[in-house]
Amino acid sequence: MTRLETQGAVIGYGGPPIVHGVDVEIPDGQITAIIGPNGCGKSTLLRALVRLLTPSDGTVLLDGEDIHRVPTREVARRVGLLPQSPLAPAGITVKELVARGRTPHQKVLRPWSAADETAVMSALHSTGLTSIQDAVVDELSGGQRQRAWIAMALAQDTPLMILDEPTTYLDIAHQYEVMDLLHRLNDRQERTIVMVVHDLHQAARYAHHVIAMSEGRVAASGPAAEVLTAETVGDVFGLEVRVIPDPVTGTPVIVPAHAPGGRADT
Amino acid sequence: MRILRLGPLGISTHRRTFAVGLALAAVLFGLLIVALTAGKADISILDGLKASIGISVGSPGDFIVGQVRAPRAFTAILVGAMLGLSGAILQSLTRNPLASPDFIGISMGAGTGAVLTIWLIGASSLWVTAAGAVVGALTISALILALSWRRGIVPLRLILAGIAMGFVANATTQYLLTRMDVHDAGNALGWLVGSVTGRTWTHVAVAGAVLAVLLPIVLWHARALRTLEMGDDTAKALGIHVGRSRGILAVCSVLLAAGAVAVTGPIGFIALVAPALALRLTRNAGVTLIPSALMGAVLLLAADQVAQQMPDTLQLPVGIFTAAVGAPYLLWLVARSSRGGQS
Repeated sequence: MTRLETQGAVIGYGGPPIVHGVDVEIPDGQITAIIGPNGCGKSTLLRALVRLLTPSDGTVLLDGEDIHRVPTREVARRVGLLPQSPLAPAGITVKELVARGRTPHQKVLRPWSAADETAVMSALHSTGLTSIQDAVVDELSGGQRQRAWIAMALAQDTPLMILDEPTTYLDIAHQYEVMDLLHRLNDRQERTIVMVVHDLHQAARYAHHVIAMSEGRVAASGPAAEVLTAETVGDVFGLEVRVIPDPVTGTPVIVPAHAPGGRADT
Repeated sequence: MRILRLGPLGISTHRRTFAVGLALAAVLFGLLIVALTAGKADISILDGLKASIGISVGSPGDFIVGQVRAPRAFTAILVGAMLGLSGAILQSLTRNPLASPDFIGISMGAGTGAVLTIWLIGASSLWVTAAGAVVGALTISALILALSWRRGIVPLRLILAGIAMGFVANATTQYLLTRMDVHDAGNALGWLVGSVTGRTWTHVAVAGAVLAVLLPIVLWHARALRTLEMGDDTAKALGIHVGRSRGILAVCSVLLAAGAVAVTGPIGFIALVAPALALRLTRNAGVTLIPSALMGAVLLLAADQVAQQMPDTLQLPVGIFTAAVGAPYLLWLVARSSRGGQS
């Protein structure tokens, strides 16, 4: 089952298209990772999935309907987004930021409701931010700040959550803190999660479904273990690799096939 | 969080913002009483308030308050509020504390439009001058936007283009003044000084009409404005019509500035300083519209009171006193930014 899919979507920024007519289906209730080399169009595809970009040809369907025909507020109640570099207003507290996630549920001249408060408290709880809800976002550590943004997307209370490189710029402990949080959200709250990630090891460990992109096309998609093979990864990234099992989870770990300095210059 | 209710309707506001709003309203009311009663004629507070809303209290209150002090005070309040609101919107949209209609050319464009109107059809009607100011402000805003547009609004380019266009507009105004006959030029010059002196109920009506139309539209989009401060992607993801909301808010900001300039001539620094002070007092994260408007009203009314207390030989325009508040604020901004502080 899928609520979000693209059909022959050609996507670009006004110039030549970056993504050339792709069909992807986001499986419900799973974590989907979009991977691929720099410039392959994975972030472009992600932006089209949340209607930040309009395909010049083809469509993005949300619940079977063209996402650009669904009222924007209605989309915001079904699909949440964590952008790559969101701006926190100066001096905003964690709780205030998370409360902004309720925007699509609010109307002019309708005050803050009990449902809003519940959603915000629950988002703070899920992300472990309850104790620092009154802290100022600018003063948090990178990991805490990222959790605060994820909490904002959580308070939006959407069945689908889309994250653009949620672990970039974080150290390894904070990266896994965020990934474990996403895992819990998927596992316990059955949220469908789509994320662009650079780290193949994270994709292998946490994603059920992987979409590998190359030069604006889908090179492979399917269950993580089927996509993350030496052959596919080697083709997509243009690097000879070997796959070994993760000693903890048994999922694929991808390592370059050459020793340092061992690859001929190309 | 404090919730104000009226039946099923209501708004939520932070306690502190609410308290600051109430305090500013109280200060404004106090200043209004001073404005209505202070002066050579001895008029009681009650008589002053009565006369200001058209209840006859006999001579000399009916004339001094009803025809001189009240329209002047109400003009200052309304124009101050318009400037505060205009600056708050612009600073929020550009995420830059320097973006203010009197800094980035909008007020100068309004001035040129008004002077051009006076040149072409005379200073017969304030409504016509106001329309000229609005056309001038919209024209220069479109030019500034066209000059600074590069796949979206780049705040620094917007400010630089605005400053440049402001000089062009001022030069045009100066040129027009040399082409006018002496009577029209006198009218235009008197207006270009920027003052609330001698304002009539017609001025109050124009300012009131502009504010009455635009304030509800702005407040209706207040949530969109706050959300836009988090970046376009986040705003759109939260269900805001990014382009539409920004367009409406920008036009409202320009029209508010144009209306203010039409009524009093260009008065500097209120639009720059009022939103910043409101933000500091309320400690709000992000734009705070009503406190900004109230702060603008307080600043302009207070500045005009100070101007009036000067000896008769020194009838200084109110703009000098708003600059006295604004210039130190600018220097403070410079000092802060040189220390690497964030706004």
